[in-house]
Amino acid sequence: MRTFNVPSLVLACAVACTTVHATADAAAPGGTLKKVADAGAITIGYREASIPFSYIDDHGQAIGYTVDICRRVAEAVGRELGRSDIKIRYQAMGPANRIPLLRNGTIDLGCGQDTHTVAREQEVAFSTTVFVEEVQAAVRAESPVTHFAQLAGKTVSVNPGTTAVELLGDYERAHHTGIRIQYGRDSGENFLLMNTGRTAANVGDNIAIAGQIANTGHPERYRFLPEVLRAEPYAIMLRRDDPQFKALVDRVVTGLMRSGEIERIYAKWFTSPIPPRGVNMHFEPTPAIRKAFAAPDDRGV
Amino acid sequence: MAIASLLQPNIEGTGTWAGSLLIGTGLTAGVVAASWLTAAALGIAVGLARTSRRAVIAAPARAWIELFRNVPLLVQFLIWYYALPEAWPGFKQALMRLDVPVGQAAIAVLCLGLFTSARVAEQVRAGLLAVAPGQALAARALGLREGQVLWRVLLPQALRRVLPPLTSESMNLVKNSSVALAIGLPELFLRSKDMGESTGDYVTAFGVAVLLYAALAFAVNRAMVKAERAVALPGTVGAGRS
Repeated sequence: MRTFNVPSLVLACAVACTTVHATADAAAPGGTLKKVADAGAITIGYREASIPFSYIDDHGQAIGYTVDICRRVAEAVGRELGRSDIKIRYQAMGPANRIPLLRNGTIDLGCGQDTHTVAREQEVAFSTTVFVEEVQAAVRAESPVTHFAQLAGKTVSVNPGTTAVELLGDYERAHHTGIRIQYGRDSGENFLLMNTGRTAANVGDNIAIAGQIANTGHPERYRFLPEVLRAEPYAIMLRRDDPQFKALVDRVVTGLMRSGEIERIYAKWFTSPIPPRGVNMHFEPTPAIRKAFAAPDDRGV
Repeated sequence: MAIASLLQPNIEGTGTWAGSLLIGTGLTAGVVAASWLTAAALGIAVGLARTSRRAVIAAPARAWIELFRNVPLLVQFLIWYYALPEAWPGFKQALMRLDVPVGQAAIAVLCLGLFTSARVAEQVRAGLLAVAPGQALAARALGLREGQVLWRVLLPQALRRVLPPLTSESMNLVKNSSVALAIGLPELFLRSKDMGESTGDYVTAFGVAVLLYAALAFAVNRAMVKAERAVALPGTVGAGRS
């Protein structure tokens, strides 16, 4: 899922959105708070199918874990401005247009499944980390493999073009274990290859694999290997150079963590049945997520 | 922009992106060549069978053509690679014994070869039907057996007639091979897509892929035109033209 898209976004913009860049950060003078006050509305950017972070339900409403957190932020903005008439608007965004939409002021909060990378900090700012995804290997429960090193000489299925491919390449150069990579077309097919025994493991984002496991309806048939190849923090995307607004967003997010409210929001989306089909992700907070909640920070990778 | 991203290390860290694209091109060319041979051999056999007057031979040939011609290529790829191994354990075991890219390439050759064979068969049939009926009658009158009529008289004329449409079918094969991306075969298109995602330089990645595909298709075109000229009979269709 995490493709190395940042430079491509830059390129896409350079080619297609020259006008966007010409007006980029038009909303910056006076900051987002002034913009929201003037417009009487704050706009949440959502993704259409980043389950359970940000997606649309069967009524076309934007819902999800990140969307819930952003709603809290939007309410806090109204309180900060001392106004009760601030409307919350929603705008769909995709991987290619989320940064231009944010920069040109179409959206004020990017509430999807966005990795906070240092490279992206050139383009946007990020809130305090709200979730940590980790690159891991998943195997069938009855597999004899219990540790990553036991995948030596075996074949693993991976999404082409993702960080997992790069990490496996690094691992292979460091350990020379002869792990072989099989590319499936997408997360579903890579999971299928592991599930049908064609590959020994499916390596990728643990949350994406957890989604595949949830869809099978038999979470007990799979397990993750304990090793984490890399952790990636997810955060809300904000416009750059707006410290006043970022401070407000961070205050709300860390507030949710300090009060324990985040646990409730987390449980609602990751360990309970979620719309539209009532599937339960069964994704208990990992140690990395617990740490992000206990000691909030806003560092990228 | 262009040269710099081509010289960046690829995502597996095994070389540069330029190297990846060239290896992908080699794989594409190999798959195309093997599928072409499969498609030509099967296509001629099925095309001949299709024109048989005996239903027991013509009907299966017709079913073959309809089956492989009417199902989208992408669907066929996914069935061969994901569905069939689950339905047929022996096939799955055979596939798993192969190295991953070898298995993927074998499936790609099988899938492209069969898909294209149905199209070749239809052209061969059209070629056979286009030979003047007097040719077969004359051959029989001269005492040739049915097999000889087909092999010595009808097929040589039919195949010459279908070479021009086969040229375009062969070029289609080059382009269709990119669908093997769907089963993860690291051919030219998958490599260029990877490069685009990884370096962000889609313009160079796809630009180079376009040039390499065009070069491959053009090479196939030239080879087929050469073949057309080599076998052309003076005074018949296609002779002396490029």
